[in-house]
Amino acid sequence: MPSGLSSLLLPSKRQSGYRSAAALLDAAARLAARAGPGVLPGIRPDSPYPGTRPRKRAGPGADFWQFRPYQSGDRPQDIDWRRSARSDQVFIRQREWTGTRHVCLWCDPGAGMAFRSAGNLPEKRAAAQLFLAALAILAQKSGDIPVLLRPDAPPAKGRLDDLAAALLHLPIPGDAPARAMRSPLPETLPPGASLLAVASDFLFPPETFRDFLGRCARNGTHILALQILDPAEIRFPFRGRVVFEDSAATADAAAAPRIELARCEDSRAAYLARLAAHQSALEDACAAHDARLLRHATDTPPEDIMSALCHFTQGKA
Amino acid sequence: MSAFSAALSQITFLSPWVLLGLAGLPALWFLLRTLPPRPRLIRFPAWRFLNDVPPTPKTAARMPWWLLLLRLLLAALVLLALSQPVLRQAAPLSGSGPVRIVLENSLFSAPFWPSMTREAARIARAADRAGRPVYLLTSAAQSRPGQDPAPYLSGPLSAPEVSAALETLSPRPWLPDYEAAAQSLERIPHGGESDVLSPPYPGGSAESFTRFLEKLQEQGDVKLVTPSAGRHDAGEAIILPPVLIRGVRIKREGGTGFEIDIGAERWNRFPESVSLRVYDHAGDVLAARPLIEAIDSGKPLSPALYRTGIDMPARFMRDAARIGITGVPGAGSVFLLDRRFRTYRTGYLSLEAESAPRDLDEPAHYIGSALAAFSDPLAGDYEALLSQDPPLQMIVLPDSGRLPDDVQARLTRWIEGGGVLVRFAGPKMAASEPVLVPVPVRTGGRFSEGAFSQGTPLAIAPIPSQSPLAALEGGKDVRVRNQILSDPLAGDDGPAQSWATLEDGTPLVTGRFSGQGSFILVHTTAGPGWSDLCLSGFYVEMLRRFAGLTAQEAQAIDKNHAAAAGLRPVQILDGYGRLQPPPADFLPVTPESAALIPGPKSPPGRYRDQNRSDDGADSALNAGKHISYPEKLERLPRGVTRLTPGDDREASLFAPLMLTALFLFLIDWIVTLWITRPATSVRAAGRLLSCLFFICVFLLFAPLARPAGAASLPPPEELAGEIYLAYVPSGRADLDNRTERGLNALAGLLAARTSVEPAGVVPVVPGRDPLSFFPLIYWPLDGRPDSDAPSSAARRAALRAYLAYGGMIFFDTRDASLQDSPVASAQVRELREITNGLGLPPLVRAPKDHVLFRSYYLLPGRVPGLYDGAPLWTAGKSDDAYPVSPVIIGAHDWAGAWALSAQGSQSADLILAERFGVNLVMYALTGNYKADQIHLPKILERLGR
Repeated sequence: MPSGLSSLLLPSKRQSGYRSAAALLDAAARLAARAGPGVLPGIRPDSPYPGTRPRKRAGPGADFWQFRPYQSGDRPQDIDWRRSARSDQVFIRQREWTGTRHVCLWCDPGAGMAFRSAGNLPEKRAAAQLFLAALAILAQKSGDIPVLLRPDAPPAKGRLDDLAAALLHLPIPGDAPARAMRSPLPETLPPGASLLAVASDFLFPPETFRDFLGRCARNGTHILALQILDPAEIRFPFRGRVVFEDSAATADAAAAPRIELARCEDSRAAYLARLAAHQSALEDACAAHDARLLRHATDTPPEDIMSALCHFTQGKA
Repeated sequence: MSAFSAALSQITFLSPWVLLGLAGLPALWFLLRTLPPRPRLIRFPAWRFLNDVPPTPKTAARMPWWLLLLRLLLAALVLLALSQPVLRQAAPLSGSGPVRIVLENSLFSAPFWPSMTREAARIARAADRAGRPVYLLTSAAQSRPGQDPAPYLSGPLSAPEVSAALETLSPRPWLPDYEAAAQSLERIPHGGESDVLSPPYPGGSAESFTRFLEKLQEQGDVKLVTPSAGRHDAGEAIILPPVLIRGVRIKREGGTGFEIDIGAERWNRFPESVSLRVYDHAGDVLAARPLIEAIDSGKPLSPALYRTGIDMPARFMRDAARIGITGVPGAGSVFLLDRRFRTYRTGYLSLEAESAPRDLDEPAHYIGSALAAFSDPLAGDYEALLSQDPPLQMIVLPDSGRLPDDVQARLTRWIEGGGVLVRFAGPKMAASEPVLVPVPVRTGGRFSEGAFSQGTPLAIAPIPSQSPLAALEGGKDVRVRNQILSDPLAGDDGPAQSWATLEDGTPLVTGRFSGQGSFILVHTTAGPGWSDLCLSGFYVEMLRRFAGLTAQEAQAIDKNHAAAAGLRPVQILDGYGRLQPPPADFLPVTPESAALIPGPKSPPGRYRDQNRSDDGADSALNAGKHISYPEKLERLPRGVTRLTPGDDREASLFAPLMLTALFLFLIDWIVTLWITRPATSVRAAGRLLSCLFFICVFLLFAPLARPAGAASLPPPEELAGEIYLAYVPSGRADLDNRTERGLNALAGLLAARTSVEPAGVVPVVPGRDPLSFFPLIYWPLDGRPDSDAPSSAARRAALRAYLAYGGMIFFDTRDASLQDSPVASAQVRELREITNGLGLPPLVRAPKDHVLFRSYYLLPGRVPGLYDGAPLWTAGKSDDAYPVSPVIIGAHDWAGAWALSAQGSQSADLILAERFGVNLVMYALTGNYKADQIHLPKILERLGR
């Protein structure tokens, strides 16, 4: 089962993840080079001011946005006298808010992300890190500020290698009991974040995701959801008697809930049905909140998801 | 099928009750079937979807049948191993009752002794297991304190007691006493079986041995066990027939040396290493000759008796102390030479300085040359001749006038004590009134030429047969011109004999015995003045006969002495033919008991008159002289089974079975690991690694058959990083194989005992392979140059460079020679050819305080290998060029000794050989560093002051 990710981007097969920030950035840069221009939603390729981006709302900026009737509290300097002279009302001239946009990145810190079903596959976390790093590169290229949201620390931003290092050194789940029950999704959203890319396996209940999408919509944040799954999770290829342990539940392996299947092949159909139901619930939630859901299996080439991302943004534009 | 059951019948179980556990295997079968293998455990992120999967019926997963079989096999193997099976190769004991082990430990058993004792111990163990008492009996009598000699007998014994008793027994250097052995058998319980361990050639006559066997048969079954392997040489086991030195004489004709009667079967396979050797008192080899060559050139006297000889220069003759045959242990292959053989101490009067060139008409010149043909003559004045200690045996006086009175008295005493005085006539004697002549002589000579000549010069008449000069050849062309005549009218004061006469009946040689000696007059000149006697070979042979007179007389006198007083042993031979000091309580051989047959009361050895302390008076009792050549056992009494111990070791199967079980366990482990793969790959890798580690350890310790033959040289970076022991291959596979085994044994010893851990043993060919990596190169010589060796120029250049940069070569000629003997062995010749042009410093015998003897172990200065007695040569005084000796030359075949001790042989000499090997490597590695400590006592003393 050759993995596109590992064959193309991991330094060697048999390696479960990236060893250093440089390796991660190198792989991500190669991946980002495959993406066409305008991958990120809302980009304006002909923008004369690199780094500025119209926010499609009133605010500080150079370009005209709209006239608005004067309200008490408005500054007199903002009154457009020429427009006001044409009618009885006094109008305020508003400009379109242009400025650097924050592209937020989030990687699921859950223990389940460390899963890989075969020695020649990367961990799911590695794929997540690669995509998020590639997005960070693209965002910086188009003048946005990539911001890495972290579960236990303030958001990281700045140079790309710092970001990549922070991405690699996200707290490893399971090493402290206090972090065991960590949410797979960010709990707080930075105000003004216009785009949030969430990389996760989304194997938690779909209701949690739907609630999260609702919060984001209220904050005005677009969501790009990257669902990364291991082929074993998609196809359930197990045979015989296997004891399954909940890897996400708790750090204490002895107390983790277990379930024993006498014949896995008999339970495969039930599993696949449940997975399909879960996936469609996720899609429904995304559709309801105008979020975009992209899927990636760790045994497929990562370029696929990049092209999917291109189509997504072009279609959106 | 029958072979299989035969093999099965040779397996005995020491704890058979453990085999009952095999009955539990079916139970284990069911138990294992119901216990499924542990399920795999997977930490699964999508666990949530499985949480409410409807449960499927829980069927117990079956263990695969082959895994089940594997585990059952494993359990069975462990049980089998615990029951301690022993593979025996020999036939089981027969009958019931006591087991009598009879060891034929007489004269010819030495080569077979290790094999015989091993077999005896094996039989004892087998009897011990069967709960049967063991009696141990020897066929040869041995002396017992306070009692008459009798064969050894003890019992009933347990197996450890038998082993302990075997340690105290050894081959005896005399014939067996079957009568006494049969008598002592009467005292042991009858029944059971008797195991007679005997060499293929039992001592005594075949008839007496057969009678002995018949006697044994009256008591129970008899098995005759004759070892098949007696001697290990180059890994090859061959039996040598017994070799006896039946008699030795000084060679009378045709050069100097010894004439030796060898009792040996005509047999073509005597290896080159079996050789006839003459040793001196210190054990140095004076002369050597391969036995097969000696026998081939010898004269057959009777079946299995050859008269042959060994040549050696006259000046070495007087140092000869014993003649031996290497490679054939036993008292019969050693012949001790006593005073009768250390003869030919001659001297002649020469008033001039010895170095002065002599004229051809000088009589002393002819006497000296003639004596030098068979002795090492001393030239000097009367004082020098008579003050020798031990006194000379023959003094030759050329024409002399009246002797001084004191000289005359001393000469008379000397003759009475056994000297032979030979005088030649001449003008001076003719002019004087001679004394000390056998017959009165007339003054004035008789001249055949000259004014008063009576006729022509006279020839020598045929010599009478009773004369000591009888049958002397070569005097036909001698013409005597002038002579001195005896005076028949003068008073006759003793029986003088005319030993040789001229044609007309006038005496040429007259002699007379006086006391223990004799005086002889040759009635003509020693030089060419009066006759041409001195130009003839007759002259030399005549003098040789004269010299022989002393020896013959001495023999007669010894017998008289033995009859008069007791003889006490000075050195005795043991059963292996080694000289030992006699036990302190040894009784002197009294005239009655001195039947001069080797036996417990008078073992072969060197005896001395009780009243004398000088070693000039010792006489030897030799085993080979008194026994006839043994007969090979051909016919046995009916009912006696004949066995040969094959591989006479019992092989315990415990270790192989346990190792197999361990191996199966590892396989089981891997299989189980594969079935229940762990969740993460890291842990799997860890387990796999530990698994591999154990397999590697297992494979390392499993005995691996090393392919024989010379391996190619490892790459230089490997050679440089480790210490390798190197040797120069001879091109002969057996020798190289043995050398490699020996060096491997030495490497193991070094690793065990010292911090030197050699990485291996490699063959190197100087001139082809790089030498600079090796601190020491062991070079065994075999006398046959390797045909595909590089040219000698290339080799010489390589060796020169190697030695110049601090290398060390250890030559081993493997023939126990290396004396300054004129007879260079083939190995020595090869050594000369190799070392020629290497620019070596002068060599000396390694002194006892050489660093080589204390670089690791403190050695006594004697470094035996397979052989002993040859010196070890190292560089002389350490100069700046070579602070450490660049070459060491020895002759003891140390690699053979190391290989032998690695095979499990043990002896004090082998231990010394091993220690010498360690010292050698240490010396090569540390140089003279240890030499400092030689001066440590002095340094300490100075510090304390």
